Amino acid sequence: MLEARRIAHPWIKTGVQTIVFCRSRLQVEVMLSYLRQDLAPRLDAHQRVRGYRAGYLPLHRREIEAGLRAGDITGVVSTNALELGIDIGSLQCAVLVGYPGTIASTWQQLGRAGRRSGSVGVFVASSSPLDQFIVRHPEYFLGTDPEEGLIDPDNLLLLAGHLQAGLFELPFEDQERLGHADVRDLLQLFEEDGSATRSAGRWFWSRQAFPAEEVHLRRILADNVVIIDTSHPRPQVIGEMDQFTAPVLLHEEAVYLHEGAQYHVDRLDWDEKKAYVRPVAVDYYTDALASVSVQVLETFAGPDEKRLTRSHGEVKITSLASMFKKIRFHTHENIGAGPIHLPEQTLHTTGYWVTVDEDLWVSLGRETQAHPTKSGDFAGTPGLEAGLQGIAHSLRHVASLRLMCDPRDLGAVAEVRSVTTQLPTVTVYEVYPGGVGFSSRLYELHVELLEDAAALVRDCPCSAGCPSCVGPLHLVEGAKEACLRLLEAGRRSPNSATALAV
Amino acid sequence: MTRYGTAVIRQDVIPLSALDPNPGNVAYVDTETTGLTGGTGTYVFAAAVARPIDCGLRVAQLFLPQPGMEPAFLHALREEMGEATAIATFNGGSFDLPVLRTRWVMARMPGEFAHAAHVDLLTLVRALYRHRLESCTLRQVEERVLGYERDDPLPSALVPETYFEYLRHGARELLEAALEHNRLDVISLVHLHSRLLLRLQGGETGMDAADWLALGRHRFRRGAKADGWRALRNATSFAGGEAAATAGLLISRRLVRRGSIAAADTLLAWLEDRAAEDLRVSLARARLLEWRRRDPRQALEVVEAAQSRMPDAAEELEHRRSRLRRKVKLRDGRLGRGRRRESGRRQGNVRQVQLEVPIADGAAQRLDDGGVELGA
Repeated sequence: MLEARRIAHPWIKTGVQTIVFCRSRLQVEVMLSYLRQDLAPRLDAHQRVRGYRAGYLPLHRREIEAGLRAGDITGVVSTNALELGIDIGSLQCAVLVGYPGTIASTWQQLGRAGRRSGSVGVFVASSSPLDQFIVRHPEYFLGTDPEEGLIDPDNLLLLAGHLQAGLFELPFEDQERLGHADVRDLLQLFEEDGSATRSAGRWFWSRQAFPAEEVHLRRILADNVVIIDTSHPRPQVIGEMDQFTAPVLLHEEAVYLHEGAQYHVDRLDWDEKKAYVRPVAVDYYTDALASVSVQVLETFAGPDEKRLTRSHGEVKITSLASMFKKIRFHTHENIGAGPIHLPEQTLHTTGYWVTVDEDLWVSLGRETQAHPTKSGDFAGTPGLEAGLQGIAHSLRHVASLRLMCDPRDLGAVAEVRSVTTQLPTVTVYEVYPGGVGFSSRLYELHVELLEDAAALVRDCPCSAGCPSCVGPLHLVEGAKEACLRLLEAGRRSPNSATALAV
Repeated sequence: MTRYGTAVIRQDVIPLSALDPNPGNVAYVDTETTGLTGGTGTYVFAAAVARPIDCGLRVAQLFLPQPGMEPAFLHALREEMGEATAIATFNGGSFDLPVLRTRWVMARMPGEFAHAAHVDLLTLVRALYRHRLESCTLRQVEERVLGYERDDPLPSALVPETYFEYLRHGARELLEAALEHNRLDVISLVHLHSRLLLRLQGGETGMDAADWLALGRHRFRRGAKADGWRALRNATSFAGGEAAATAGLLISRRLVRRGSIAAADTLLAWLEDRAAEDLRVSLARARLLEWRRRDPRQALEVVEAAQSRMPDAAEELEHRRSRLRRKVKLRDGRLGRGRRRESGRRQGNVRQVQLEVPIADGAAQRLDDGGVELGA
């Protein structure tokens, strides 16, 4: 991020219209603060450089879009919300902070710059494995066609929404399908909960509400947390956030950044889905930690008979935000922490998981125990555990590469003792309720995924592990090594005599 | 039994004294639907039709036991409505009728849902009673206009749900309450129409200036000029008050349009006397004197008198006053120098129709177009 700042700031200072794309809302707000500070001697820094993201209120966004078209706004920092579909005229420079996740997105974002008088697009790679891969292999990006869109028309939640809207429009005959989908079970479910009535061989909608209003275009879940600024005589709503992300960004005592302005979250009324905030001016931002666990509801296929087995099926992911850290601007040092008391978030989706065979785990554990650290303590299981986390990290990234999706579409969890398998397990899941069909693909690509992950870790020039390969595990001795061993061991069959050899 | 299957209908006759004025062969219709969104997923599950007959009021209530029986329901409803020469609803133009037309199509009935000429009582209520009502819901109208407070345990908003409960669980009690609600609604419409007709014909007692004003405006909008004049005149006969003044201003505007400038002037002078605090009247008079009668001196007098009567408005009138003063000075100057042409021009542009007495005394008979137009 600091690199991107270094690049973008001189352009903005000299009045060259620049757009900076960031990967996350938090990044947008932090980058916005940086750029505004760089422009600080100017009185209109706050009007010249603006932030933009989907959580801002519509009128606000219209104002910024108009300002860009008119040329009043010199710099804008945005999430992919400004990637396409909105007319902001043509800017001169586009700076991408990190890989947007897909080739298509990358071209879209770069394409926001395109004035005839000379324009430039800059991709600044982050330390993420994918970014590093792309920067080392630019031919992948420049030579490949943009990805296909992957959709899963059988996602049950989407189907239900469509069915309700269709039912409102025209009663369903008994044997009628919705496209290819057989909807009898769903219709019966609706009848049970009172939304539909069966009469004279047809199904009728039997609620007052208009079902299409309850279908959301951008997300599958509905409830948003509303953000309320209490500093005015009459409290004002300044934005909204989806329920799954809220515990991480809007927990009490969080510093919530909105258009570069800092707000302290005084109170989060979870039942009412309201966050009460107040403008403040502090020199730090907050970052929250969430612990995630997996419960398998139904296994569609697997496990097979390998050392690292594969399976996929329906999973329930629970995420519990546990604590947050206070991090100072610029130096990024940790200056404090606090707990988060919020209910668990649940996500029903599909996932793909890799389980380590017990023998393999035990033998590797014995091996790592045999290698004490320099200080004399046994690294022991911590190293192996960290190795498992390394698999989760690397697997998620190579999965997104193989699926050609955004890494943020996937989540990954490593568990030394999974509730379902009782064994060390790494689960890669889709962050969309109901799943979108990635997991079955990953199941098919199992062998290639393990190979790619092994290659990623092996070829990484770091010595002990880094965010570009196994994740920030460099403080745990032997993590990278353990990870590599697990991955390579998984490639060999269980009957191989040399399976346990290093 | 219809050719579409079985329809469920309940009929009875309520004794009612003869309606005066007699609305004629009208069918009053009110429906209950499964929602308010309109659209194809909303359907009519109950309808009530009331027809005045010799000895009283015939009320028919139709019910849809299941959504699949819609064709029979719609057919029977149309039959009930079909014998009348006109139908009356409350907001039916925007809601009930479009929904019924849609349902006819959705039920794959032949042709379309045809009906007789439609009178929307809500439109009339708004025109005649808007100034007296906070909201024009049927309930408000019932209470404030008809003076009848219903003992209805079921609020309108809950009606659709009673039907769904019946469909899901066979719950009858609440549904009966909803059907009763429907019935009371349609009976109200009958009484409401009668009252509205009474007012439209000018036969109602106890109307005040605002009531006459609303009536007058409505009649003019419908092209019934004679009634319009009469109503506005009645409004002005009330001593003072904003409505009376408004009515007077409307009359004077019409007079000016017809070229009866002097009559308008007389009327405005008379109004000013009675509505001394109404700036609009003085302004209208000053304008008329300045631009139509070309008499800046008199206009100036009016403005200055208004300024002294209404000190708060004095500032507002200042601009006009200074302009008039300039004109008067100019005119004095010119006249002083003996130019005669001015005085000729002053009178040349105005067509005058003289009236001997102000309108309030009833001498405006000759302004009537003749003929009386009745009905909705």
